Parts: sequence; structure tokens; C-alpha cells
Amino acid sequence: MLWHVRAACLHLCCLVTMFACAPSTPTGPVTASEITLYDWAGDIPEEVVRAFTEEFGVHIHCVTYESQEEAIESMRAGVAYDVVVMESRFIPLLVAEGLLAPIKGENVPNFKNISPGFRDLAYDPGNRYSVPYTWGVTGLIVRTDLTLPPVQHWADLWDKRHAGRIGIWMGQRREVIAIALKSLGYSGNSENPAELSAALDRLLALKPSMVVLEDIDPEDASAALASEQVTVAMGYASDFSAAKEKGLSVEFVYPEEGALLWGDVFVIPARNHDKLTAEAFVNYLLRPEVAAQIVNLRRWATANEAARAHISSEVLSDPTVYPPIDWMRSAELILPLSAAGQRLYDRVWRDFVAGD
Amino acid sequence: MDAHALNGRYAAGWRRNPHSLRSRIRILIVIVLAVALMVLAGAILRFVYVTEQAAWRGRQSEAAANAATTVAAFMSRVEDSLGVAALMVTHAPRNASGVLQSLLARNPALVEIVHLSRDGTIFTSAAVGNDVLTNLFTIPQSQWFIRASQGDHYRSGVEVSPTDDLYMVVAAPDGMSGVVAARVDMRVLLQVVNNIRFGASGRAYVIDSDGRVVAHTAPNMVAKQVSLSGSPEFAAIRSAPDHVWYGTYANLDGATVVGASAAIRGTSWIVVTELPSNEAFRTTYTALLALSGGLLVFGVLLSLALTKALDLQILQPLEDLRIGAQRVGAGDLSYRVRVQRRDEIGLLAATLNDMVTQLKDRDLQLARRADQLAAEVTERTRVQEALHRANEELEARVAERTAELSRLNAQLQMEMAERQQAMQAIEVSLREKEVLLKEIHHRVKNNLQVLSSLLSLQAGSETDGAVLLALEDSQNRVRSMAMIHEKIYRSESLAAIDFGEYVRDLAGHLFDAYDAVARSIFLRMNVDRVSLSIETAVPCGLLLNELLSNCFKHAFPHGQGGQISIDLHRSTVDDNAVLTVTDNGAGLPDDFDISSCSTLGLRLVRILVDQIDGRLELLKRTTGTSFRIQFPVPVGPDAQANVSPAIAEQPADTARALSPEAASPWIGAGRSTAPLWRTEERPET
Repeated sequence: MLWHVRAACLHLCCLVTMFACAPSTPTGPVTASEITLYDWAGDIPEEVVRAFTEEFGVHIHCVTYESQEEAIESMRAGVAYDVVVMESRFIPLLVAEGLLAPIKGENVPNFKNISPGFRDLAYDPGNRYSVPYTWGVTGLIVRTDLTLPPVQHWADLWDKRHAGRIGIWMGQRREVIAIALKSLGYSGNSENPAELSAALDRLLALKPSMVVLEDIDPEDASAALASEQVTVAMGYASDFSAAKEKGLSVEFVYPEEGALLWGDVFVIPARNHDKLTAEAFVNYLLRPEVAAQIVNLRRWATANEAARAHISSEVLSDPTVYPPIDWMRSAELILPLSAAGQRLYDRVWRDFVAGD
Repeated sequence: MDAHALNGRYAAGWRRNPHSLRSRIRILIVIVLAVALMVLAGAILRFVYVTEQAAWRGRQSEAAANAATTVAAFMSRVEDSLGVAALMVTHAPRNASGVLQSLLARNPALVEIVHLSRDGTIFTSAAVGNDVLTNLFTIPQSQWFIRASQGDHYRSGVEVSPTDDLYMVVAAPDGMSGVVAARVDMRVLLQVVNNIRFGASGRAYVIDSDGRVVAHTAPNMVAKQVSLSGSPEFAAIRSAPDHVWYGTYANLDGATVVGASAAIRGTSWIVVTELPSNEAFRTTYTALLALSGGLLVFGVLLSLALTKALDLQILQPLEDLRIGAQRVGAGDLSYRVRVQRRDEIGLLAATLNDMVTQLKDRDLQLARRADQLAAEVTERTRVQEALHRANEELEARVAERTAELSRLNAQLQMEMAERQQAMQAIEVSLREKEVLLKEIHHRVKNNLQVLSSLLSLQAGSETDGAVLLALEDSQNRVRSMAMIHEKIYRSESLAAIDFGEYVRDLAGHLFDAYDAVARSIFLRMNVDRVSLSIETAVPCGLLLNELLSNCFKHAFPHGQGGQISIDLHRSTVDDNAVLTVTDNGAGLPDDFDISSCSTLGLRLVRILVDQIDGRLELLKRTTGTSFRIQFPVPVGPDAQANVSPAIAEQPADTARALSPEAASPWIGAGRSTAPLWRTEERPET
């Protein structure tokens, strides 16, 4: 995620023509004059926040975090927030710890705009605690001018010809393990010990060929590719766009074993200032035109199906933002793990980092 | 309000008086009737209400149960279709698509069916309209797929599409290792629910276990995801066994309804039936209106009838009685109340008439008694007037006497004032005379002193012894008289002198004159304090002078010494004083007769004793001589004798010291160089 935060900065200047949209009548009452939004830096655009303040008279106090772990620790510490943007895989953990308030569907009628594909998923049955927001894919970005053998699979990373040129974000541990699982034809969310053991072997095999991107500290994957220190890197669609803007010959590869999906959701913490106003704000963000405005500005795909009509055709036709459905059939959303699964993953990761 | 005014008001209209008995009884009748009729109406209404509620409760519970059966049947039809689909696609995979299409055609509730592999890959699918489930790239992460893969029959919540279409996803294992899933169009269920009717406007709807509306006659209730959660009736429904509940509340539209609920078998859903309370209570309302109207009319009529009966039976006769009493009160004793009845009021009227008859008799008696009283009053008035007149006369006489007494009193006071003035004048005159008298005594004393000095001068130039003695005697006599006058003007009172003091002065003088000390003659005095008037004092003084001179000249011849005693006592039994002069000298011859003695001295003594009405005695003694003179002393303010302490026998020089120098300046002067014409300062008056 750190990744796409960095990429967001590049997109700030990419202002896309805004669709004229008739202001909807306010739904649901607001009972506070100020609420707090806790989000990645540079996520929800200022225009969106300002428009809400103008329409509802509610000031949005924006607080940012650097990582999901930081956000979770802050909520655990008892700091009150009204709306938090959270990665979907953490929802069961937060619910189990009692950190989230149930969202009343009656107060968020715009939930109907959410795509059926993001409703009632494993991380939050019945969407009692979360409202889907954005989603994206972790794939591979390849320097086509420098890479001799074509890259179409996750398994291609183990091709010795790419040794020492493969950029891996060690901060994305679930994704890294999922890449190994996927390369073996398993589910990226597998909790099978044998499959995970095999994945560990794969990872240990990959380790000598890896360039740990955190070690060379690029702004994002595009910077690493531009420096020619890596020719293949884990990346998001936003990284791909950035690389193209740098004039690099790059390609975004959806590995045939299946790309890795991530999803961000809105949640309302149990410790909040005003739940009703928080729900009104989430409902506002689910308006098709508002959701589309965010997509057009930030180039994150939205879970909001009704927003499609308002998203610019340029963004819609960008396969890195909205890949064709056939590419996505094998994609897999990174899901929360069971407690036993979490322990397995922790062991795999420890052995991977320690091993050689 | 006085009785007259009250009468006037009653006469003006007793029927309209709000304080009248009629009004109060009428109000009482109305209240009693109202309470009785309301209790009656309440009981009837309660009965109607309870009966109606029981009927509706039964009907509505039945309706809820029927609705639950209907919805359960719908859902089981869907489940059955899914089961059939699973069976057919797994046994005839080649014609799977056609099978699914025919299923969709037969069950209008199903709009899409998919058959998937265990990893989420779609084997076959069929849809009416848009494909939804087919186009998802998150199938392996979806609840419906995961749950069905695990062998459950999964039923999602009601989903709302952006175009407000309502659908639900149901999924089940296909019996092999795949999953069959279908999208159910909720409009069909809504139609089912919409067709559930009871009463005139009874409706039903379906909620899930969270209270969210799943199916409703108003589709937007579902689209808006309206929920009953948080309402008290939902809490009651949830906690009721089998969710069978009945109650009255405000529903989602805000209308007051009577609701019943029942669980839908095979699901976690609950059906709720609602009937507007005005319909549920229609019979009660109708009964309420009918009863209210009927009882109101009945009450009014009954009240009017009762009032009329009251007027005729009680109040009108009472009014007649009142008029009768008023007439009688006004003095018409010939009036008789015409109430011909045998009840209490008739008795009262008869009694009143009797009373009037008796009053008439009493009236006559009273008139007679009044005449008598008038006569008595006239007589008493006359007597009173007579008393009044007598009283006035008495008062006039008293006034007259009082005036006279006042006048006398004034006169008396005037006389007293005059007398007081006279007294004051006398007082002044007396004081003047006292002064004058003192002056006279002073002059007499001075003149006698001059006379004594003249006799002394004359004696100085005389050589003949007898003449010399005679002159000295005369000088002593004059001195003794002068001393009396001196004592008088020096005394407080001009009427008397202290004779005791005088005796001491005189004795002192004579002791000097006869040179007694040199001759060893001693004086012993025992003298009481005796006041004597000048008439007595002068003879007494001369008398003492003679007796003492006699002693000095004759009692102690030839240089013989001795003692002379002077005693002056006041008798304790009468008003007499006793003066005794005693010596222990030569004594008198035995044949001495005092009455026949012809010496000048003793002759003078006799004369002087007579002058003071006294008695002279010569007491017989063995040695010396003792003369005792008893004389009367008139009782006065100072006459009471105060006996001085007895003076012991003493030499003559000591006795001389008894005479104060200031009191007898002439003693020395007479024998020395004092001028003859010298006079004493006049004492202050």
C-alpha cells in the first residue's frame, strides 16, 4: 500500500475532466459539526471533502497514516475516528477486537451502488462492518527493452536469466508468499501446510535473485525500473502509469496463474465522535458521481458499480486500472487468515527472511 | 343577603336561580345519571373491545401463520428448483444449459443460475436478462460460494441493485463437488407478500433476523434497507417463542397498528402482519359512538323527566308554601295555603295553616297585652318625671350650700391672713421690746455699777468704821442687784436667770470682798440648776448677800477659820426650792430669836423672805449657824431643776475660779482702777 501512496503523488497533476453532476439531496441527518477521517495520505481528494462540507455543513478533519499497522495501533490506543479507510484483510481482526461499529444499512442507502462482486465477501459477511471502496491488482511491471525472455507467469521470476534483477517489496509479505503459492498453482490464501512449505522452498530459491526494493529505497516501482537496477518488479497499476510517464518501455503483466487483488473499505470505529454523521459521509462517498470523481483523480478502480457511468473513458479503457474480466477470473483477493493460518504464515516468513 | 332580598329574588324566578334546590338537585341528577351511564357504557365497551380483540388476535395470528406458510412455500420452491438444477446438470452435463434455461422459464422467481466447479470456475450458466453471477471475479472469495462449497444451503440477504432491483443469492452444493447458485428476483416474493390480505386493509411483510425488511408491500422499504432493529416491538418479537407475538404499536409508516408475527419455517425470517388499529377497533368505535349518542339522548330525556316530576311533586308545592309563608310574614293572617295532599308536604301545609290560625289568636292576645303595657308605661313615665324634678331641686340646694361654704371659706382664709399679719407684727413688736428690755436691764446694771463705784469712792474718803462698814454693805447689796440684771440681759430668756450660776458668782464676789482666803474660810456649794424670774431672783440675791455677809462679819471672829456651805435644792415633791446657808463658826446665842432681831441685815432677810412668800428657819446646831429658806418657784419651761454634780468641799480660792472672769469683770474692777462710768458692751440682740 505504501506503494500506491507514493504513486498517488504523481497522479495529483493528472486532473481529468469532471463530469457535471446534479447535486443529490442529502440523505440521512447529520448531527455533528465535525468528524475525523483517517486515511492514507493523498487518498480522498480535497475537492470531495470540501464539497461534502459545503453541502452538509460538516467539517472533515483529515488525519493520515503511513501504514495499516499504524492505523490499527492508533485505533487500539483508543483514539476516536469517524471514518477510516482500511484494507479489507484486516476487518475480521478489528471486529474480533471490538474496534468497529456496525454500519446501519438504512443510513447508507447508496450501498446499492456497490458492485455485486464486492458484496458479502469472506472478510465481512453481509457487509455489517465495512463498505467497499477501491480495489486493485498486484502484478508485475516489466522493462520490455531490457528483458530478454518474456514474462507472463509468476513462475517466470524463477528463470535464472532474470537473476539479480527482480524487485520485490518485502513490506508486502502476504503478497510475496502468495506469489510463491500462485507460481506453484495453489491459492494465494492457502493455509495448507504442505503448500506453504513448498512455497517457502520457492521463496528461498528466489531469494538470491531478488533485489529488496526497500534496500535501494526508490520512490516507487517505476523509480526502481528507471534506475535499471531491476527489470521486473512487483507493482500496481499506478506504478505502471508512472513508469510510462517517465518514458520507459514497460508492460504491466497479469500473470496467468492469477493476479493478486487488494481492496480498501470504509469502516466506522467503535470509538467515534458521531456515527450518524460518519454514515452520512460514507453514503456521500458512495454517490456515483463522487466515487467517479475519486477514480478520475486517483486512478484507483472503485467497487462502486454505478460510478462507471461517470468515470472518464480514458480511465475505463486503461486495462491496468480496469482489466478485462477474463484477465481477472484467476485473480485472487488476499483474504484474512485463520489464527492457525496466521501462525503458519509467520513461520514461513521468518524462515524466508532468516534462510539462505 | 337579608331575608327580604332573598324573598324578592325567589319571587322574581325560582326556576332560574342557580342556588335553588331545583338547580342543585338537577345537577345531582345529571351527575348521577352521567356516572351511571358512563360506567354502563364503559362496561359495554370493554366487553365489545375484549371480544373484538380476541377475534382479531385469532384472525391475525392465523393470517400471520398463513403468510409464513406462503413465504416458506415460495422459498422451498426456490430451493427445490436449485436442487433439481444440481441434479440435472450433474447427470446430464451436456445439455446443462438447456436444463437451466427451462428451469428459469418454469420458476419466474429465478433470474440466473450458475453451476460452478469447486475452485469457482463456471461450468454452465443461464440468465434472464443480465448476467451477474457469471461476471464476478471474486467468486472464490464470496460468502455464497464458500458456504455452498462447505456443504451449506446458503441464502444471502436481500441485495439492492443500483437500479433498485431487489435480488437474493441462494447457493447449494451440487452433490458432486461443485456449487449451484441462483439469483432470486425478490419482486416475486413481494408479489407473494402483497397478495396476503386479511380484513379490509390488513398487510404483511417479512423481516430477517436482524430486523431488516426483506419483503414489503411497499418495495422502497426494502430498497432503503429499512430495519425494525432498535424498536421495542422487534425486541419483543425476537424474544417470543417461535417469534409468535401480538401487540399494538406505531409501524414503519408511523400509523398505529395491531400486529402479529410468526417465524417462517426453514428460514431465519419472520413474517409480520399489521392491521390499522382503527379497523381492528372498528366495532368498538361504532359501539362507542352508538352508545355515546344513545346514552346522551337517554340521559337528557331522563334528566328532563326527573326535573319535571321534581317540580310537580316537590318544588311547586314548596313554592306555594313559600308564597303562603311570605304572605303570612307580610301580615296577611287570613291567607291559607291550598295544598290538598296527604304526604309530608300536605302535612306541612296543614301545619302552616294551623300555625297561622294560632298566630291570629296570639296576635289578638298580644294586642291586649300591648294596651296594658302602654298604660303601665304612661304611669311609669309620670313617676319618673316627678323623681326627676325632686332630684333637680336637691341639686339646686346643694349648689346653694356649696356656694355659701365657699364664701365662708374665703372669709376664713382672709381672717387667717390678717391674723398672721398681726402675729408677725406682734412678733416684731415683741422682738423690739425684748431688745428694749435688754437695753433697760443693761442700763440698770450700769447704773447700779456706777452706784456701787460711787459707794466705793465714798467709802475711800470715809474714816469712820461704822460708816465704812455700812457703805461696804450697801456696795455689796447694790452689786448683788447689778449682777442679777447682768445675768438677765446675758441670758437667752429675759424672763428668768440660772440662779445656781448666780449664787456661784455672788459667793465668789463676796469671798473676794471679805478676803476670805486670807482668813482660811472655805466655801462648799451644792447648788442645783434653778431658774428664777427677776421678781424672785432680786430678793433672793439680796437675801443671800445678807446671809453670807453676816457669816463673814460675825461667824468667824478673831481670825478664826472655817467653812461656809451653800445648798440650793429643788423639791422633788412640790414646786418649792430650798436655800440653806450654813457655817461652822461661832454660832448664835441660845436665846437668839430671829423674829425679834432688829439688825438691819436680818430685818432685810425677813422682809425679803416675805416678799418671795418664803419661810425662814434657823436650824439649831451644836456649832455654827444654819439658815434655811424655803420658797415657791413657779413651774416654767426652765423651772425643772437640773441637779449639778455635787461640788466637793473646796477652798474659797478654788470656788472663786468657778466664776468666769468674763462673767464678772466688775469684781476686780471694783477693787482696783476700773473707772466708775465704764459700761459693758451691750450684748448682741
